[in-house]
Amino acid sequence: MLAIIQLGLGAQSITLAEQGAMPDTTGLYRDREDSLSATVLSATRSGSYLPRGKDIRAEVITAAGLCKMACCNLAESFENSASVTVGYSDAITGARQIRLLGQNGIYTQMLDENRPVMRGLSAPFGLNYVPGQWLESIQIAKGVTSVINGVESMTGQINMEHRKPTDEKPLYIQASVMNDTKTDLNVISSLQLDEMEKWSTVILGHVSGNFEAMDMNADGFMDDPRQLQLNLSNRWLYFDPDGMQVRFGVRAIQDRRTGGQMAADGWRSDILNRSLGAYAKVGVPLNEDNTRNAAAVLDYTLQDMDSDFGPRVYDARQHSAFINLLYQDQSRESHHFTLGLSAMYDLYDETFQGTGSRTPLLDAGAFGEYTFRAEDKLSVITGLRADLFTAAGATMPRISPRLTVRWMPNEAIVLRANGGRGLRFSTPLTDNLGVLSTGKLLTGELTSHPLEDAWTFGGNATWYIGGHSDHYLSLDVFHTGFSEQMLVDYTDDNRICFYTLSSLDGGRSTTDNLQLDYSITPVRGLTLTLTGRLTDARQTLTYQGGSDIKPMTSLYKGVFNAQYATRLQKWIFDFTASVNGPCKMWAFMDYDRSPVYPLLYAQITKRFKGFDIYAGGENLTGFTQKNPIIGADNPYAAGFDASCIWGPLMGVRLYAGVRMTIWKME
Amino acid sequence: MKKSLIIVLAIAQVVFVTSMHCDKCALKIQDNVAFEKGVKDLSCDVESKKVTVTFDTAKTDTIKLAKAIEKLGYSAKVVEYKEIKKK
Repeated sequence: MLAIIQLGLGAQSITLAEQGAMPDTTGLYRDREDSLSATVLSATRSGSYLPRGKDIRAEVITAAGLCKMACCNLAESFENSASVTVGYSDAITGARQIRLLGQNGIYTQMLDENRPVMRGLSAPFGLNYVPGQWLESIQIAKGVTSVINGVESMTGQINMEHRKPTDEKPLYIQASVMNDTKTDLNVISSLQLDEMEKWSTVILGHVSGNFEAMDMNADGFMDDPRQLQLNLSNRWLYFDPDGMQVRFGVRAIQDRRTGGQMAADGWRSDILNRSLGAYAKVGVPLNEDNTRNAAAVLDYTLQDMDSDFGPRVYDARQHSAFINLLYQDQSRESHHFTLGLSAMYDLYDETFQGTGSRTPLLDAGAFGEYTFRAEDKLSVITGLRADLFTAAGATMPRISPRLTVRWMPNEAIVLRANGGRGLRFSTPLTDNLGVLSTGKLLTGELTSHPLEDAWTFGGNATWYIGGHSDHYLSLDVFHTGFSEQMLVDYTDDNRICFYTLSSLDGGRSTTDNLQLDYSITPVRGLTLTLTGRLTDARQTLTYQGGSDIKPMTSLYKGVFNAQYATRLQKWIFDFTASVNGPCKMWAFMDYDRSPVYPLLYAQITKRFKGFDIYAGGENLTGFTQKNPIIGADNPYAAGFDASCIWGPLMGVRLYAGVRMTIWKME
Repeated sequence: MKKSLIIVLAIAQVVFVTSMHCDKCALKIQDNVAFEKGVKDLSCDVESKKVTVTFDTAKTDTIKLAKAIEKLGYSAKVVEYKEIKKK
């Protein structure tokens, strides 16, 4: 058995190796009886796919998929996906946010190799701080997933797999530049330090900047902030052939961005984000064939943010610690168990407009997960967590059950269903950082931290036509319903109100999603994918004129992607077109709905031995949101609002880049 | 006396059984052997550990191709060879 221990990974957790995205048999994962075995190389170049063997509906964006576009950072890596919609938080800071199943990205659990990340203060800019070139793959899982990493995932999980210490690439360099002066440089080195390859490490470095501010729409404001980001990470792996393994790493980020008016003495936003983090994972086998094992996962992050938005000042610091202790028993073929204890502690020190506050939030819990497998045909995973949530001296016990069923009646059909509960503490300001880019009065429960509570149920049917993994038709249906949620209501020109769903009599907050995916490889080298999503999002809001259609949520999205690679993949052509459906606007705005708009992306890559060059364009139709900043002529007035964003802020952008790889030789 | 040398120009296909064991190995072979002179086509099958190379016999041969794979850290043994097209 090559792989020994599964570090903190539940049966439903989405690991790279299980996905078959790029299995690394030198490493840490369990045997891959459910992976896409017998993979021929053409499959490894596929940009994204739906793996047949996963218990939960998951979409994998591979390293090849991350090279289809500029994909400078994680936020820009989902343009091929209809599942995930990415938008700007506001027209000032350049911060991006995602939506999955029609809900804000705060309800999607972000994982870094199965450790929870991008929480609280790290969330608003978190997507911008994961360089796309650091990643080996991204897995997007819809619905509620394993209870092993907590129950903060309400609409899904996005797991990032970084380049590995075991990669036989002593040096990888990528550099790119855009016509608006946005520049990226990534340097990555994976080193195996001894003959037995017990010790290996990967060093990941990133520098990016936006050096020249542009104002293409002539509203007096920078379209994208001037910015400089430094990002460094070092990850280690110790792998003992007897089974024990240790992974640990550190990471540091500094990002400074200046947005606002072009005029030197105008309204400005200055944001300095700094972060330090460290983690360790230890796995120990408890029997000879390692079917019983124990694992510990430890993680600490310090996030510091100093920001001002014109006259508004928001300074905050978050200490975040996570511990997870697991025992796994997979000694019986059909019956697997995982038991564990975990705790998540966050301490926020915030100063907003001169008023300071200190908020400790704790989630301590015990969990168990049982998996029944009948060969490849059927799997049933039941998970249960008991948590004590503590905030402001109050302790709230909660039970969270989750269930996943996967049935494969034959090689061509996979049917899945899952459902369960998700819980998370709301952090109103950091969850809605865009409200700071307004002149409005913020009122209501801005400083409270209610425990948001949602249930998600859904199903998926995938038909692998002719049994081929690269020719499929897939249908997803998901429903999310909140029983408690922090609501943000743009009441009028001058005010934004925060209140909880439970404070409304008969209030509701739900989303229903339907998605269809079709992928085909009609001839060798050509892959065509077509996906479409419909979203019906409803939310009771006091000041929206009686309608319960959730504002700023697009009703549909369609994506068409074509990739053609020549026989030896020396030339690769990528084309992506999407149509983005309308959103209902806030009642105070002077139009009811945003228009339907298209987006086009294209890229050509020429590959040589050891290096690639590529050039492409983003938003080739040049469509942008008109007048994205309300009251741009008077940013110090209460009516100023740069947070009502539904479309692209940047027009056509052209870019070119180079990727260089030095492979380890004998 | 002037000697005449007859070279048979052909497109040939060779199958190597290698020591690759995962998709990353396959990708490493693909990214390097594809750029060897004379290589026309290449496919890797991780499960059977086979690398199939189609090449121009006037520009390279099985020994050079085997060396190109071995240089990457994998063994390479020819298990099948056939000419698929005369030039």
